[in-house]
Amino acid sequence: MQDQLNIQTPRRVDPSSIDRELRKMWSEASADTAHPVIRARILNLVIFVDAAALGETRDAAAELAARHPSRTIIVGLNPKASESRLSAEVSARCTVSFHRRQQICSEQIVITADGRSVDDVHGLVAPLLTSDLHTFLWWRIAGWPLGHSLDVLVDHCDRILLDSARFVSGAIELDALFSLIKECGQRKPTALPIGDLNWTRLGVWRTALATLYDVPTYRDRLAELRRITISYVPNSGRPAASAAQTVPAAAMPIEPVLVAGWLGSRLGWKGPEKQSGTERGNDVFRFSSPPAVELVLEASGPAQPDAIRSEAEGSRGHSLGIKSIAEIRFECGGEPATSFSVRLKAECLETVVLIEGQTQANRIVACDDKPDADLVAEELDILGKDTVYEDAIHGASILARLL
Amino acid sequence: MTQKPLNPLRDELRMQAAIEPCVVVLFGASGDLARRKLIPALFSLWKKQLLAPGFSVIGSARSQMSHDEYREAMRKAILEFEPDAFNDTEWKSFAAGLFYVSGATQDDQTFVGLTSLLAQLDSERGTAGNRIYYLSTPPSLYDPIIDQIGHFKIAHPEHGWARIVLEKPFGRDLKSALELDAKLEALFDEDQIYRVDHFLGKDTVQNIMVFRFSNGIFEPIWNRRYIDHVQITAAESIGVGSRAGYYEEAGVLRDMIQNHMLQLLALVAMDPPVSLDANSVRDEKVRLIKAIRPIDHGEVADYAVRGQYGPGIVDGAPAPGYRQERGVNANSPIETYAAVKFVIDNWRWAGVPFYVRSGKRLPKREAEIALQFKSVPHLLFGKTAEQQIEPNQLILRIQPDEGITLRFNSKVPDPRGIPETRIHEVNMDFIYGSTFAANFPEAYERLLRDAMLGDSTLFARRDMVEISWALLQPILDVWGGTPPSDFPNYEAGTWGPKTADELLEREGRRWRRP
Repeated sequence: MQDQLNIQTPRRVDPSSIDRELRKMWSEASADTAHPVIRARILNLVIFVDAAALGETRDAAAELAARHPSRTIIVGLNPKASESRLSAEVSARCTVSFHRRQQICSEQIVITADGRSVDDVHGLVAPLLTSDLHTFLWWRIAGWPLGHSLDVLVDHCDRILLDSARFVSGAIELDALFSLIKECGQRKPTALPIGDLNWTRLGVWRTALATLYDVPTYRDRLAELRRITISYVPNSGRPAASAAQTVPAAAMPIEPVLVAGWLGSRLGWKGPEKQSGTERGNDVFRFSSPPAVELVLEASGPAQPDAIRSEAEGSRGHSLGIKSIAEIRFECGGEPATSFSVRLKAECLETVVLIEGQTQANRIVACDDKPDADLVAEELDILGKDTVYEDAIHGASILARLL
Repeated sequence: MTQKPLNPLRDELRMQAAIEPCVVVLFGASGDLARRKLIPALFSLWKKQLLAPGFSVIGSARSQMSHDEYREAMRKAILEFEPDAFNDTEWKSFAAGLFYVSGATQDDQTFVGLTSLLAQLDSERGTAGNRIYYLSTPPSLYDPIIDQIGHFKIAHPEHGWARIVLEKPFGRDLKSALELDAKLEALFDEDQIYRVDHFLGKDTVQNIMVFRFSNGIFEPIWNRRYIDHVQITAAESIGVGSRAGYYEEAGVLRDMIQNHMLQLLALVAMDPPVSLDANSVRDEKVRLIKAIRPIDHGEVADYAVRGQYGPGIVDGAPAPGYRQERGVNANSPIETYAAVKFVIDNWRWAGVPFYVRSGKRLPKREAEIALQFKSVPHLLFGKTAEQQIEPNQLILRIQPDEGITLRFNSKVPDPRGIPETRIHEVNMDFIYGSTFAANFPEAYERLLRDAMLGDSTLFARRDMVEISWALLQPILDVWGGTPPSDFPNYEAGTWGPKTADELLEREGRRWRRP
């Protein structure tokens, strides 16, 4: 395991002389012969964040730099400030490596934009981007990526990362997300791919489901798939449905719909049609693709009150991330009666295969809610567009419109 | 027309290929390799959801143990060797698929129990007749295990597939390798046989191909017109440790040169394969090894040097000589160091020697491939500079400090304005750890996964093994027939015997000091 250490406390610098201060900083660091410094950067990472969340973002970015050495530029936005001004800090974040012989260091630049200067920040950021390196823009703010500076900076970017778990209105925002992806995909002269940390977060669920199709005998049974039930925890602040009431659309978290969209797009489902008058107020969709499949989105218990959420979950707004989904159950027709279930159990994901009521196989793997730094680290390995994700969002947006 | 994927949910760039449910039958189940490497690697694959829910392991060894006792022994092994990887809930779920059959491999009852358990797992855990027979045993047990597999007719299951995985050494000379291969071939098809060379499972070794064949600037100069010679080094600072019994039978030529080093040589010198499928890559490697000029018995002294370490200082501490190590014959003739010059007779490499060396108790652990380029044809920079100009080198560092270095000459800045140009050799470094900053996956994890997927690219093929033995057989014969008179001939903690330096010096070259 590598040890993280910060060799410098951030130093306040004049925003107009950031580059000069960085050179000075590295020159001083290289004078430390006891701990030789290797300055490393393989990409530019620009992070937009609420100024109030700068502290945790600095830490997340430092962790990230240990895996993807980068020039990191964190832009803290504080548009409600009465005074308009830009301020900056620079620091080096280092990791001890190579048998503790050397330090691998990345630079972190923090720019705070107050008041109306939030629309001027691009002028400071653009010249700081290291040429010939890929540039990722991570929008770490609840809500949609918007603003003049962002509009200008996306021209310098190769990929935008956002987190749909931060969308405040849950699944009903999926349609807008699909439109954004489509628009960015048609951008000239080059398309701008979008990555979604929530998609990466749900990877553990997707992998568990995919492994069911790895087993030839299971695959034969899954050809007779008749019903998929996704049990979810409704978004907080919006009570779960009573026995006969449909869950309000805004209480539907994004995650179950996103997984449903993915399943539909990968398995080639056609449709869907929403069924009315269903039991227990569940959302039930019918897909016509052969064989016909019923998708049930079933609220599982009451919404999670904010009080019991962890800090990390809280910072994502209403979403519980991977814990938004309680269970995904596949029921197959024909003989022998077979069902497959993947469910959350404590901090683990349990896969159970039931054939004629007998458990044939069972696997439990840890299912930790990964910190943002880990999710972004995975996304930074991907440069182009993720068509599977885009297809999943398309499928999910169609479902969301019917909610 | 594109084929519909078998698993539509895996059709995405983030998901690794699927492994079908199977049983790994682990012979030598309580041995060092199983405890240190194999079970931790399988557990890691399980945690990554790369193994099917019904995946199972049947350990087999002589020790009497119940299933639960075996599970407990393996739990302790994980806690000892991979403590950070342990998670009790995940372990219990994985361990539910661990089983144990005790008994001698020669004993029919062992295989009666084994085949019955295999059938039971197929039915209860959905392993579908798929088996990997992993021989993690001393080579002396290969024959009886293969015989029993044949006797019980489990090499070709009625449903599913069977593969056999063997650890090196694959024989101890050409004759025994041919015998082993013949025995294997009588039961298995070549595509069922996986000969492990764990060097090939290392990411940095796999990067040799990526470096060569995905960068347009290197391949045009990767030949005799630009390269003077190549040095391949695998140095270890440790002694034989607990492997004295094995080492006394093997020596470094069998232990390292015949397999790991020739594989590295093949990767660095072969022509581009037509594709990355297992046989295309291995075809090119074999073609290259076939082009190596055979060494006649009478020429061995010109091409190969052997050494054995005496007492010395390693890592600042006194180290015993080889003959003083526990389990080693006090007059042992076994070589702990070997250096061999290989000459490749093909258009690309004619006249470019490949010097290969490996040894124990050298100053440090280091594996690298260094390509030395030819000197510039004409020196412009005056007499002083002439002595300072070194030929360029490209160094592929396999371990540790994995990376790539290009050495070239640069003008030394001189603020005093002295007219004489001073030149200094400098390094342009790519360091894996500083760029990707990720831990390298354990080689066995990759190799086990590939064996279960049926991808044999990173495994040695029969012809490669046999040609390698044939190439080294004259050296084995001469060294075996002429006991060394000068052993020990290098001090522990030094870079090998003087004769190794002379091997290069007589051609106007010298070994790098990694």
